[in-house]
Amino acid sequence: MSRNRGSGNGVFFQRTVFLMSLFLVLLFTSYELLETPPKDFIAVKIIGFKREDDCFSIALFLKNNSSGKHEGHLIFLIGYEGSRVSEDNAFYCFTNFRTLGFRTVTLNPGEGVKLNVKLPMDPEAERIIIAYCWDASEAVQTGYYSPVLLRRDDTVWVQTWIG
Amino acid sequence: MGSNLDRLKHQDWYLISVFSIALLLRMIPPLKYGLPYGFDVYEFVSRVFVLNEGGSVSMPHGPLFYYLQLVVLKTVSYDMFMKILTFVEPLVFAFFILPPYFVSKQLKTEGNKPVYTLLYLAVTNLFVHQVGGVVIPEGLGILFYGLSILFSMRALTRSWRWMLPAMLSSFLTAMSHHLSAFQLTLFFSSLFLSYLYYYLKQEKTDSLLRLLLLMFSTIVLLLASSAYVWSLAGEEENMLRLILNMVLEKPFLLLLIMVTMFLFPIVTVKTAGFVKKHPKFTFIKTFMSVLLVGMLIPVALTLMLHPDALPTILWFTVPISLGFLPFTIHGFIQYCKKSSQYDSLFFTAPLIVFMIEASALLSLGDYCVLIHRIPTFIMFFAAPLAGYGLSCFSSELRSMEKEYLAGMMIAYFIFSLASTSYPKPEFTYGIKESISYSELKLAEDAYSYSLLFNSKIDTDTRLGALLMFVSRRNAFWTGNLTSWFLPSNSWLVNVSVSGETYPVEKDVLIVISNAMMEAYSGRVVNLITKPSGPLREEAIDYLNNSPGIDRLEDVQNGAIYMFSPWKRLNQSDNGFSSRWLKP
Repeated sequence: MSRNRGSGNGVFFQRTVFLMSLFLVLLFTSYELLETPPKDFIAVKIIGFKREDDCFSIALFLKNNSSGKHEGHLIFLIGYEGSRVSEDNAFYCFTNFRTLGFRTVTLNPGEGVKLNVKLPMDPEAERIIIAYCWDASEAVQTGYYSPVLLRRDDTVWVQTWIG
Repeated sequence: MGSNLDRLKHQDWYLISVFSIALLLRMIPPLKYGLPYGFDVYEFVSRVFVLNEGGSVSMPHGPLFYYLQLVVLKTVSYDMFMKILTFVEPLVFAFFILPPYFVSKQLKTEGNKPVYTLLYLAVTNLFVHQVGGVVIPEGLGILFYGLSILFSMRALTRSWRWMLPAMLSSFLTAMSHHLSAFQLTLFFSSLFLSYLYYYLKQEKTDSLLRLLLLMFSTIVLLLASSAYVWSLAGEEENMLRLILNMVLEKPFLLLLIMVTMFLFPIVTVKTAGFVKKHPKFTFIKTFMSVLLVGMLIPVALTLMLHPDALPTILWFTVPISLGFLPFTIHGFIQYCKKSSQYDSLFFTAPLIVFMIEASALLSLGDYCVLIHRIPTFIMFFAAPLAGYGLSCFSSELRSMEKEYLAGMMIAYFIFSLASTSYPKPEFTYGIKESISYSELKLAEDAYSYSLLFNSKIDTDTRLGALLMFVSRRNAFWTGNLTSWFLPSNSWLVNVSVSGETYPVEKDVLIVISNAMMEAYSGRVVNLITKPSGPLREEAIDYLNNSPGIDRLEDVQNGAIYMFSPWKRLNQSDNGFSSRWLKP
């Protein structure tokens, strides 16, 4: 008798639908709100450039606009005649560049750092590229001449022409 | 008496819980992003901002929405206005789902539970997305469209006097949103033709004749108000006029419309009669056939017209085909069976005309993309039938076990509708209303660079609108705010249209985003009527490798380029260290 209580008039069905829907939507809402906000991006920009007697001085601003900590390499590339940057969906490829140096930069969530970089004069150099790459496997060596391949999703870069 | 009170309380709790769901879903983007989701920056910058400065602009959707925003903007500060847009507007627009709920309450058929209609209105992805979720004139237009439907139903079932508020809300629809007005014109035309046929064939009463006259007046009023709105719109800005022009250019379509008008009332009256008499429409058969048709037709049409839009179509369509459509058809069949022909015509006539409209739109060449705007209107009108279908389905369950099992399944259907309200980026073909933080940053920094270098900014319409928004219309953008219809003569636009690169001007910042690139199915000039194209690989290659073009900033989703900016600064300033860009 009690098993059939509420059957036939849809009352039990109605309660199930509303309670379960409310529960699922609450779960969905919580998931959406707790999920990392889609703010995630790293930005790099040149905020100043100066040609001095024996070097180039570049002021950079690097900002972590994400909720995760980023540890990456700031890679300095010097481009010579015939240097080329190409890109596709997955990679940036820097050809005929010399890796002048790199240093590790750690950015906490929301942190921005201003960097003053001094690069020595090179009469044959045409352009300077500074890339910030936060995929550890992308570490490159100083003096490296072969094409440098950096994963697009893990890299931001800027360039200025000096030639 | 006590049990009645208990039942009343239960119904109240259901209503409260459903409305809580509606508000929760519409508040997800504002709480998550902190930005007005789907805020049409372009509309705001090109219309409301100009009105605020005392200028005159065309208002293609109708003036009401822009002036409402202007009143709020004039009343509060700019920052408060943005907060209102972000957090208050979705809460207010959530109430716009109420008209179909009240339509549902008008259905006098046995076993109807209007709270199911409200549940559908609260969770259905297209409603969450377009009614309450995003800040667009469509929401306001849909409110008045719904109210007009509600009042006209009351006029047909209660008293002809309800046609007067229906006329007022029709006028407000025309003043709010052109496509809502177009849809409402079709709605009233279908009712007028069908009830005229019904009057001539079956019920020659004075009250129905009076109602028909008022309905005809409403159609005239709607057309006149729409014509007035056209006069406010710029050349080629009004979609309604574009469609009309296209129809007039094809004599065959005009002939088809005339024949349809003649045959339409016969078809509607016969359809209502056929459904009423045909005994074999069970829920299971309806569910299976709707599932088949509701999946196959959208998939086939998408594969034929826009194969790349398939993920988006599936994202919206699968939950609708499972959770909404079968119950709407079931509700329609049951309503036709259980009510008089006079009552059932109210749903039959508009539904048939909407189907004809959808087919006609698909045949309109380039304009067939407008088909994606129609489902929301149809579903908004049909929501009371979906609620009624679910009510009928629930009363057909004969045991507690079945009720439990069916209840759980329906709850998951409801969940699938709710969880697809805001498509993930991978499913957002043509739906890029949300503002991304990286694009905002790009626009802000482009403006700062342009002040530093005293330069112009070249970018597409979407980022350009954002640029004008963050700079409060102070940025020197080489594009123009009517470039949806009149592409500007800028490097990005020319290169994207022709595919050929040429030297960039020296005093222009070029701002690109991933959304413009071919690899991301991008468009620089997103037009229906003008040639358009994405930014191709050659253009990016040119910017990356042309001597002198610096890449000043990279935000992952986009970058800023300029020709020899620092040389330009040094020449004009004899040194730059005192004028570095603020971080």
